[in-house]
Amino acid sequence: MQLTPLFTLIGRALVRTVLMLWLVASVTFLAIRALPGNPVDVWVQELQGTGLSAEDAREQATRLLKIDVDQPLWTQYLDYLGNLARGDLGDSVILSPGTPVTDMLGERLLWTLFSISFALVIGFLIGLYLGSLAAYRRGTWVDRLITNVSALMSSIPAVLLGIVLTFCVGVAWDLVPIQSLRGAYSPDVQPGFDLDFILSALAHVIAPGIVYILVSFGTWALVMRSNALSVLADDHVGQARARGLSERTIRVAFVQRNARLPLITGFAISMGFVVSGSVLVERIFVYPGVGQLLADALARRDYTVMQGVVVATTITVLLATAIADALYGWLDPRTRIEQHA
Amino acid sequence: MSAVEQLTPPPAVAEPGPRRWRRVTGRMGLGGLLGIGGLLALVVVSAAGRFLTDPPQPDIEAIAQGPSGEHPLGTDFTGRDNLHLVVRGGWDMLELAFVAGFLMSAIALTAGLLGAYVGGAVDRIVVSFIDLWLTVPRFVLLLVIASLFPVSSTVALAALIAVFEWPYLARQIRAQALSLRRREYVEAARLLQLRGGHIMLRYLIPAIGPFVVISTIQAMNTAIYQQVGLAFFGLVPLEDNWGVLFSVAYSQNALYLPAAAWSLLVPVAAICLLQFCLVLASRSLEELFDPRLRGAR
Amino acid sequence: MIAPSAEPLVLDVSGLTVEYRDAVRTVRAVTGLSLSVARGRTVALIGESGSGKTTAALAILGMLPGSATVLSGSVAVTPAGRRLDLLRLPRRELRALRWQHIAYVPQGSISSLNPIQRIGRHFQQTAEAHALGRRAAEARAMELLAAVHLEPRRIWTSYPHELSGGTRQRVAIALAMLLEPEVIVLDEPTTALDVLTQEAVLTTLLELQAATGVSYLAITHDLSVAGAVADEVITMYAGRAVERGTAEQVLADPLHPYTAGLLRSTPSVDSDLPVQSIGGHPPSLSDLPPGCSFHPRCGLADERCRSGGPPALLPADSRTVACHRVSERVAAGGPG
Repeated sequence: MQLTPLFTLIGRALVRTVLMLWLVASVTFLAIRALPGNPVDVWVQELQGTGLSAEDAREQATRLLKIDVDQPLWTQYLDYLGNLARGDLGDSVILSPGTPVTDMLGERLLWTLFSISFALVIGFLIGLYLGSLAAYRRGTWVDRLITNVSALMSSIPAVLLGIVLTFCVGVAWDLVPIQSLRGAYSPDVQPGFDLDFILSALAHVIAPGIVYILVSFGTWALVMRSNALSVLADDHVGQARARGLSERTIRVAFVQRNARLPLITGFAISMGFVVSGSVLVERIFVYPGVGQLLADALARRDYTVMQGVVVATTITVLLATAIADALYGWLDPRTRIEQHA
Repeated sequence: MSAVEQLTPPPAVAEPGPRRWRRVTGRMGLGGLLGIGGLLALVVVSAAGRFLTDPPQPDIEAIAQGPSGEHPLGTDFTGRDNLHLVVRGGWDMLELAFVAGFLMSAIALTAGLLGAYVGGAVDRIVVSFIDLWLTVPRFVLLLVIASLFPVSSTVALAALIAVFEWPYLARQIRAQALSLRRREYVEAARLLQLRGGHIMLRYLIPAIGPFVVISTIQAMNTAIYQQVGLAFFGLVPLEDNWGVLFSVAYSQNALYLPAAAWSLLVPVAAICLLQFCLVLASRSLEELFDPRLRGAR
Repeated sequence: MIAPSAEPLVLDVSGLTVEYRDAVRTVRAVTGLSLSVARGRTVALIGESGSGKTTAALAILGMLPGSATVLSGSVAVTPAGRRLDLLRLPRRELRALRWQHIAYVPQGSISSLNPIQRIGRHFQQTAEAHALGRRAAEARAMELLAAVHLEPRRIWTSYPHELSGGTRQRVAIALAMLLEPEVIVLDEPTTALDVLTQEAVLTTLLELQAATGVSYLAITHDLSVAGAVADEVITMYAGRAVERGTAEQVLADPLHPYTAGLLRSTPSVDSDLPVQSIGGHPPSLSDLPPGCSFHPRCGLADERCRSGGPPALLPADSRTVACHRVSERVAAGGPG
């Protein structure tokens, strides 16, 4: 085992993680606190408007934001970054005043990840399958059908798909009662590790899950097709045919495995994309995830919660990327060399 | 394989007008014709709706109705005619898509060409920044920013979307420019010590032109996608474009009332139609300009 | 004429003609190529890139891309005494027969191995595809890897990218030998290797031939490779064989002006003659000049060479050559 490249890899991932968190945190800080007319100033003024003295208002803001609003901006910025480093995202100011944002995020994030992870994997697998099928049947009607449908599906905003789906299934055809599409589990089920709860939770994942699958598989299919086409043209595939390997072996061991490798990183990044998309889909299906929380925070202008969601989403993406990198390094024997190339 | 290398396509020969045109339309295929034709139709209808008709008036007698002879696509919750609304609401949508697509392409082109052409440290910085920005959950950030600093004009909204969504295009353009740079004639021009700007103007930009057109169409696609999301949260303080129409209808719970649902589904269908046309157009242009582009990505 | 070998033929190609087609045009890459390889012998096809030698090799192996068609000709092999035409064999039978009878060491073995599989897996898959038992295959692969001067155990568990170019070439040779084929097509066996490695690989090929009696069909633009391994040499130009004879004859005393030009353009340690490249470029196969395809670059060309069809391959001075001028000279009695 070569250790040095491994450390380089980990070091690189760490640097990237820190950089990205810093970038996102800074943009959020800039937007919420530093720009003229920023919402914290506005909020402090509003508090004064409700009869609080200027001092009390500032004190309350300082307490909830955990940043001393009387200090110079750069001190506030450092305080903010310091809090972040300690995992303190401040307390909710409006939605649930005084509750730490991290507490509010915890459960929500679990539901979101639960609902999208299934769908992401299924959409990914469908995309891989369709993409390689289109590549094998290049130029035939199968290829044209797959590529066109994939391109069209990946261009429809998830929210529109969710709306149309809800309308068709829940309203127009009346197949399923609307209420059963809502929430994370049925109201008559008690949370706990029993079959009823798990079944109910799974049933409630289906509707948003279908939307995530429909909007995500197309991109994978298109990328997989183009990767598979380029692998099919590689010398080693022709060579494998010459050696008499069965078409099945060639497709699985040569084309599939080589073509899907580069997709793994993209898959991780798509976690972020789908967490973003979940903001919209969760609102439609009233699913109690991070997206719902952000929607509430946006509607009620709860800045610390907004900020918390942004940071939490970023961390999710970073974790996914790190896992994907590790997976990639494990799956692709060339990684170590290419990292240095 | 030597014999195959010789099978590179012959240099394009200018053909007589009509025949050439027929070849172009033939190579674009049915999808491409539908896409570009559909786009033109949408532009014409939207322009007519915007500049030739007055805003539809509310009618308390006809609130949230299904289709009828008088209102072929029903009415919304203030009794305005859905057909009229959707015809009038297209222009702002197209304007937003076009401006955002243009800006996004401009930023992406600058960053991508800068990275590919200058190379070295500049390229590394550009690439790192693109990668970083690509991994950031941009839509969440976009939502927060748009909610804190509401933009009240189509152009400002387009600019905001462009600032958030350019990196993907920039990466594509950089890859394309890199592969062009390696082609012999560009290398030859460099060896002849033609100035960098000259090479870009004379060789890179023309070669990359079709790609930029396609990228802009894809950028328009992205812009619409994002604006729909923003509108869904009521963060698009614009007049009745399709995104706003659907989000207002949604917030009025139109989804759950079959008669009122028309006011929701009509703009949704219009947005999907526009997206489909853009996708078909960009795909067929890709094939038309350079079939190798498909393999390159 | 070449003295007929006492050994039976393991590969007998006759009248092979291959075209590439796309929407725009048709290109004839190989025209009427005939060659035969006897057991334990080596035939080299030499020529510049674009001469059709790689296409000929791919056609013989039944590995032409979809854009290519074999217009005529046959590729006969005789596994277990049965004479079969590879070009007319059903796909399934071809797949079973190839590698068992005729194997291939591709040009640039660097890209001919699956980058994400260990070397051992390549041997196993090949064995599985031909119903060779796993243990037998592994034992044989180990022997072969040792025979090509590699460390079998280490190589078996390596990934392609961990090996040097020369090592990969040796692996490709061992892989080609796995099913004890009668003939191996070597496509530019030493391109992209440094000179010392080239020599070592060629020596290994000769050792294997001496030990097993395998035959080679070597495709190369490098006359020193042909000189090192070949018994018989065929020069190809613009898709046609223009000269054929024993390696000593052709490489020491070329008759066709093109072979002579190739030889002059090859640097040689043994000769003090200045290196001289052939003027002009190989013709585009889609737009061949009338008459002899070589006439625009030929110092001897006269009116006959510039018109009519390409000259026929005629016997001349104990070999065959396709050149009006040389045939005349030989007919007139004087050797070149």
